[in-house]
Amino acid sequence: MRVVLVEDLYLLREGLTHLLTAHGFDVVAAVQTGPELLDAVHEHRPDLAIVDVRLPPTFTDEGLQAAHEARRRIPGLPVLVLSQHVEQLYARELLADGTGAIGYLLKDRVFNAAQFVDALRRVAEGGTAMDPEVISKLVAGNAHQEPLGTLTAREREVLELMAEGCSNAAVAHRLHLSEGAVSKHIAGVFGKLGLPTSHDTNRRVLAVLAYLNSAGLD
Amino acid sequence: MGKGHVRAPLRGLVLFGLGLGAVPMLAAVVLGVLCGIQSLAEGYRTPLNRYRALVGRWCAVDIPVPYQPPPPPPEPEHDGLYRHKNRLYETPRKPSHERRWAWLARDPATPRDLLWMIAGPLVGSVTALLPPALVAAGAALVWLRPGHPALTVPVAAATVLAGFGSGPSLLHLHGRFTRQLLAPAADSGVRRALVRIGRGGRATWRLALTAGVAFAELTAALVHLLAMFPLLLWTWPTVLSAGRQLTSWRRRQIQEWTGIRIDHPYPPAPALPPPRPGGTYRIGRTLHRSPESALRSLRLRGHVKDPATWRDLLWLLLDPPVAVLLAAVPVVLTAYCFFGLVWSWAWASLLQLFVAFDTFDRWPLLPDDTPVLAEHPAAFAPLIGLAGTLAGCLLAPPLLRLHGLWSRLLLGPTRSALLGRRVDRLTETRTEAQETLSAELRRIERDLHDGAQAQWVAMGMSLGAIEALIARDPDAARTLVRTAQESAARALVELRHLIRGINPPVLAERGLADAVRSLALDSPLSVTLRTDLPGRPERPVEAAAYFAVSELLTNVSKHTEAARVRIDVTHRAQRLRIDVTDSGPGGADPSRGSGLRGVQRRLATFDGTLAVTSPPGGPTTVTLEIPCVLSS
Repeated sequence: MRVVLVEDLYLLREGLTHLLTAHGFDVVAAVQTGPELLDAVHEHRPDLAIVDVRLPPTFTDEGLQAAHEARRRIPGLPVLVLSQHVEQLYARELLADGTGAIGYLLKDRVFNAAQFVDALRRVAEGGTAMDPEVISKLVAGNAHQEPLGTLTAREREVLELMAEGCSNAAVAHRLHLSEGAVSKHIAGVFGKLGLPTSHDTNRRVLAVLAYLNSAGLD
Repeated sequence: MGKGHVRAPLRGLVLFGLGLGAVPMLAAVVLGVLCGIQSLAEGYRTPLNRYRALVGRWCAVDIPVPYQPPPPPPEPEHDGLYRHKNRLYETPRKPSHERRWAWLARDPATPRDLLWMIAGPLVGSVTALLPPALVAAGAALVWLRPGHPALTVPVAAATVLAGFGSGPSLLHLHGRFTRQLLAPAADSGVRRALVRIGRGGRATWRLALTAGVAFAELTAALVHLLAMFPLLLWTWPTVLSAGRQLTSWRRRQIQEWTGIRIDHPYPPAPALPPPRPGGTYRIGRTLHRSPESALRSLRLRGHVKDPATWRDLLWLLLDPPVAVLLAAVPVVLTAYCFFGLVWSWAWASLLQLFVAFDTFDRWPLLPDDTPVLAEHPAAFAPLIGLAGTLAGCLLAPPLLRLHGLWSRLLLGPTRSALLGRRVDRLTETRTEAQETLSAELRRIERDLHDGAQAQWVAMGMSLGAIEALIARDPDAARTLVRTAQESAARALVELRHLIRGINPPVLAERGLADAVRSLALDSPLSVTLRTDLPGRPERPVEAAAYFAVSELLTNVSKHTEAARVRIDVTHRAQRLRIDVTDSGPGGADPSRGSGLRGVQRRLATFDGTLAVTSPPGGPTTVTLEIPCVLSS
């Protein structure tokens, strides 16, 4: 799997490159700025772009802007945004086009290499990987509204994991439940939220994210 | 002829009877006010609301209840006592009583109710009573047959029919009259004109008072000059402070009457210097034994040097002629035209019916040169009077304002006094800013010390242990690697929290508008946000505004049960303005809560202000304003 990486800190750039190479990824370009990312993406057409939010020269949200621009130029380009902090606002912007193949994770998640690599593969295959912290904020922000408030505690856990981008099997594994029980909970959640059920994980995740994204905005 | 026509005279009769209830209502209100019995003064509202509903139903008009919601019961302060104005009470009885009186007195519906009680039985009852009166008259004609039956019967029938026929429309008329007084006041041209004339009348009265008080000012000025004679100089401080009380009172009054704000020009009271070795205090070249006499001398010197003292004196001397000149025309015009031509004409006309002599001519005991009504063309006297009154009333407000402007010229602070005050204020806010800053640095240091630093020490120790174990006991080493990883993760989480408190990431990356949007998204409340910022304020202002909004949102979710909040962020006339409005029950006390005071202190560094409006019943609006320019 071919990856383009943009990260301005040398230590982190090298660390990520090592980690990715060790897990069988092919890092075709590791650059430092937004424009370089756009060039690299244009040149290599990678399976995944990994983008840091803060980049030189202004150290504001240049990476995020570059990610949006890259996806405008190459629709459906899988992008994983990495940051020292996660914000609902940015998550909502990344999810706004509703097409998937998007990820938004804290840099800390690199610590758990297995889960991190799993998230990378999911995004590259058109799925999503949202940081648990941002998902819990999204759900908490909507918790006072009608349908979400009626979910049971277990259903909420399932909803949050699903929104992170997990498949049925991954949810079952994380909650120590059988896959059958998970399917039952998912059916309950979709019923209560009034969403159409689907057997395709990606489509289901996108439906849940679109739901969370639309609610709570005035 | 429908059911309505048949019922109308009967209903008119009932409404007339109920309308007479206004007399006992008025008596109860008067008695309640005189004896201070609140329930008696307020008690009329329940039956009057029933009457409103009945008139609304029967006369086909809509009469909404106009009353403001009653005040909430008083809440105890933190010391368990109940506050009303500047007094504390052990039980909530007295404060609640006072609040309800104020509520009753300030409600604009109350004077309208009273007007209805006076006018209703006289005016409204005519329309209510006419239909039944016509029917009764017709019936009486049939019964008595005063003339020829061939004439009487048709006339009687016509009268009865007129009674029934006009019933519904007269009842509707009655309803409209009642609505005029008992429904909430509606805005109309006539009402606006009346309000304007009323304001003019009030301004005339105030001008007259201004001219009256001017004599007290003249006396004060003369006493002041007298006190400056060497022999009487010891009275000067007392006279001066009395004079300042007078001018301060006038400043307040002028602001209340005209809205022209006149700030105090006086510098703050001087502080006593430290005592000399002998225990004496040196003021100038004089040594004082007691601190009291030193302070007195210090104050006297301050007063002599203070230009405000001499400007006050000048104003006290000059205001009497100015005030009298300004007040003369409208006051004399209004007084003569209203009392001399309208009021006395009305009484003279009324008395004419009962007494033998010509009341329009000179009355006995009146001096010869008094102008009398008979000298005016009789029919025009009240018209001339009304026109003159109107002219006087319209002339008064601008003249009152002119008096305010003139007073500000001398009573307001001079430029150097303003600058001095500004320096004091800057010194104060600078000290506060430094204190806030160093407190903030201490907090950051402590958080780093107890948080991330400790986690890293733990991580280092784990790594050391791993090095020792890795060959001997790989399983234990693996467990320790996990522990070290967890320490690293926890340290990162703590650093993130810390950074959020120092320089929130979204604020740094996107600016105020998006940072507030992010706050709104993270808040458990349902927040509506409107931002209109064409650029970014300076970074420190931005941060102060951001933390202020954050604090306000926390306050709302902590202290009120408001579920909805609206935030407006705008920049107009070189000022950043943020309004935070919640849907809570209102009645918030801005003096309570150290959070608001902290916000106020933070904003003061930037000359920013914080204002809270929270009427009972809500909504509560907190408005922040910070002067600043935007950069793109």
